[in-house]
Formats: sequence, C-alpha cells, structure tokens
Amino acid sequence: MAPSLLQRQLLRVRNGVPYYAGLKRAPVAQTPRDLVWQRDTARLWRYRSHDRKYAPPVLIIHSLISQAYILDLLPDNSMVGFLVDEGFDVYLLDWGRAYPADAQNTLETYVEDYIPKAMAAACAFSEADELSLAGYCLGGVLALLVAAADSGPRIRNLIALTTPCDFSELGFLSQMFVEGRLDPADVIDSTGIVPARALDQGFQSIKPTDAVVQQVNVLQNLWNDQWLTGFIAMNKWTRDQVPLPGAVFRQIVEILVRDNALAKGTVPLGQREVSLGDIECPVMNVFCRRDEIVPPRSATPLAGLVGSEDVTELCLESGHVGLVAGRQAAKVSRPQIADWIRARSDKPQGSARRTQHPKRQKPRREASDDARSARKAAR
Amino acid sequence: MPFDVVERPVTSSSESWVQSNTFMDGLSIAWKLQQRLRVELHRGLSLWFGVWNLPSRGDVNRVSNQLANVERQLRALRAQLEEDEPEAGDSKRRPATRRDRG
Repeated sequence: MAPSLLQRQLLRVRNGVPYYAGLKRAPVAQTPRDLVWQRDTARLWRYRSHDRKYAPPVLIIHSLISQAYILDLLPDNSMVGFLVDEGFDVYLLDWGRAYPADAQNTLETYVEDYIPKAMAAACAFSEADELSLAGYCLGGVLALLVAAADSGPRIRNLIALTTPCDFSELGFLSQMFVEGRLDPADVIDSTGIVPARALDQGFQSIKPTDAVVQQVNVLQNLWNDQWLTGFIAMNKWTRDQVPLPGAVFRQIVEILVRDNALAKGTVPLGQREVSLGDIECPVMNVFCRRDEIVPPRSATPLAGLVGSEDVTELCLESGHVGLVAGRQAAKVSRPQIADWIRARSDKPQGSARRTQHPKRQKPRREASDDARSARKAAR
Repeated sequence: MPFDVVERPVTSSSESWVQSNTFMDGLSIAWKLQQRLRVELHRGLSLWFGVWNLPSRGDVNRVSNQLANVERQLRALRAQLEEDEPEAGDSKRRPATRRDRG
C-alpha cells in the first residue's frame, strides 16, 4: 500500500538528511567475481556461478570512457548478474582509470594487444577455443575492430550494445570535433590524457536541463527507498567518467569522427586496414530509440557493413543506459540478448558444467594451472 | 504537475539549441578561450610560485610525465620479459586469481 502524504513527508526527511549529506551509498558491482587476468590498468573479471550451462564463454568489453559497474549496477539490476543466472560463463574486461602512463595507448594497443590477450585468457580459463564477444558503446567499436582484425581467438558470436557506427550521426559529441571546431589538442591536458572533467562536461551539455530536472525528481521521489537507491547508483555512474588516453582520443577524432571510417566499412589499424565485411560470425546489433549519445541512425548502418549472414537488430524504447540497466533492460533487452546468445551457444553434453559454490570455492591449485595456461595463451 | 508544464518545452528547446551549429561554434570558441586563459593563468602563477621556490602545477605535470615515461619503459620491459621468459619460469609464479565482491 502506498504511504500517506504525512508518511511520505516523514520518509522524505528520513532519506533526505543522509542523501543531501552525501552519506547514502548504493551497493554497486556486487556480483561475486574473480580477477583472472590483468595488464596495466586493464582487468579481466570472471563472474562466479553455480551452474554454467552454456559454452562458449561471454566476454563483455566495456567502454573506455565510463566505469564498468554500469553492467553490474545493483544486485537486482545487473546485466552480468542476469547473464550469470541464465547459465552463461561471463567475463568482463574493465579498462579501469587511465592515467598518464596510458596516454600513448592507441586503438592498436587495445585491438591488437589488450583485447586478444584478455580473450585468450578467458578461453584458457574456460577451456574453450572460442567465445561470444560483446561490447558496450565504445567497447562495441573495439569489439568490432577485434572481430574485423581477427586478432584474437575465434569469435563465435558478436554483440554490439549501443555501438556507434556512423559517427557523423552522433550529434553533439562528434559535431564538436568536426574540422574548424575543437581539435583533440584542445581537450587533451599536459599529461596527455583527456580529463574525466572534460568528458563529463560534454555529456552534461547534451541535456542542459538535466541537473534541475534530476533535483526535482529527487524531491518528488525522496520517500521511495528503492527509487532513491537506483537513482544514487545511476547518478553516481553518470558523473563518474574516467580519463581517456590522449592518443586513442586523437585516433577516434581523426579516423572515426572526421573520416567516418567505420561507416565506410574500412578502418586503418596500424600498418593495415581492417574491414567490417570480414566479420562473418553471427552479429547482434542492439540500439535504443531514445538514445541521445548513440542515436539509432548512428548504430543501424552496422547491419549492412558486416559480412555475416546472421545479423539481428534489436531496437529498444529506452535511452543509452536503459539498455543495460533499468526497466527496459530487465523486461526486454537482457532476456532477448540472453535468448539470442543461447540460441547460438552449445549446451554441454550430460550435466551442465558446474563450478563449486563460491563459499566453498578453493581453486588455489586449479587457479594456478588456469593462470599459467592463461598466461601462456595470452602470450 | 506545473513543473512538467514548464520543463518539457524548456528541455526540448534547450536540447535542440545545444545541437545547433550556432551553439556548437560558440561553445568551441568559448572552450578555446577558456583554455588559453587557463594556460596564461598557470604561466603567471608558476612565475609567482617560482619567486618563492614553490612547485607549480607545471612542475607537478613534468614530474608526472617523467614517471609516466618510466612506467611505460617498465611496461615494455615486462612485455619483452614475458615474451622471452622460458616455460620453466612459469613454475615460480603464484596463482593470478583474486576474489572480489564489489
């Protein structure tokens, strides 16, 4: 039963004091996981599971400009948690927080070094020779480039989650960097990275009234504990941008924004060019109708560029983040993504591949072997 | 709610305005001007700090960049070592897994 007007006022006071004092925290990234590989600031997490039913494993590549916990936002609102519960063997490649030592990282660093090694480590840990690769936002671009470059273990399925393809249609964020406006050097600081503050200002500019609207929404819903927890988690994430290495930012502007190379289907990578037409595995392209960061018209050209005969498009009635966290995610996107991967995965013969209960899990020796084989494979 | 009556048209018109060429041209000029002012301010401050033998932001950035260079060299060396390392070297390594609960 909904609380009365008086009860709501009392609840507002009870929740408002800790909220405005900054004492209220949201329990983000709670799904139990193990660190299985790391290189510099990149970390590969494997999520624990009682019951891994499907092979190959699913590796999710997160974006370079935001924190990866959006994919595991809250215990009851978690993309990776959902996939784990559905029986998938889930890995998350988290880029961490770039700092000056990462300033010279280029697209090649990620596409030809970090990601293939992380993929090899995931395959070694899961004793698989292929995997399903998913990428969120800019992580989707990296996943596409890895698939096109064929620079890692075999990719069984490719899932692009709100992945920009035609950068000329990105709107504000790309239009600010067309010739004659801002140059990469204008936002790269003296340590060679794009500060998180600059990225935050860019995202805030897209919705100028958002700060005011949010505060009014908070006042309206302050009495509702569940709403407030969700809001705090999401608000924490939206303002929690991470710095971006300057060298990769230069390439994004020059190759992807100004040349719009991805929309043309061919992207220069190191000494060669990679073509999206070389992607022949099944591809799922998921985008959102109300996405202001990656509008549908930026994401849809992908289907016509990949060489795969099995291409599925899923358009959701949500915003950029609603795809992985939120009501639309829970009702539509997560189940449909899981169904799509499941239909293109194997169910191991006999009983499902099981792992020990997390509390009893003591994989010291096995982990040691796994780690060794992962390290060998990653080389 | 009265707020919604005001908010919806204001939001939609402000979002359209943000996407306009006029706004983006103006913002890029303002951004460049702000950067220029910041550089001049830091230059002035570092001169002033120099008088008192205090480290300025430029000094901190220089040290930070030097450390970053050292770290990059270490990373390259480590990558080289891992490539050259004989298989037997692996037996000395300990497990690479680490648990985490958020």
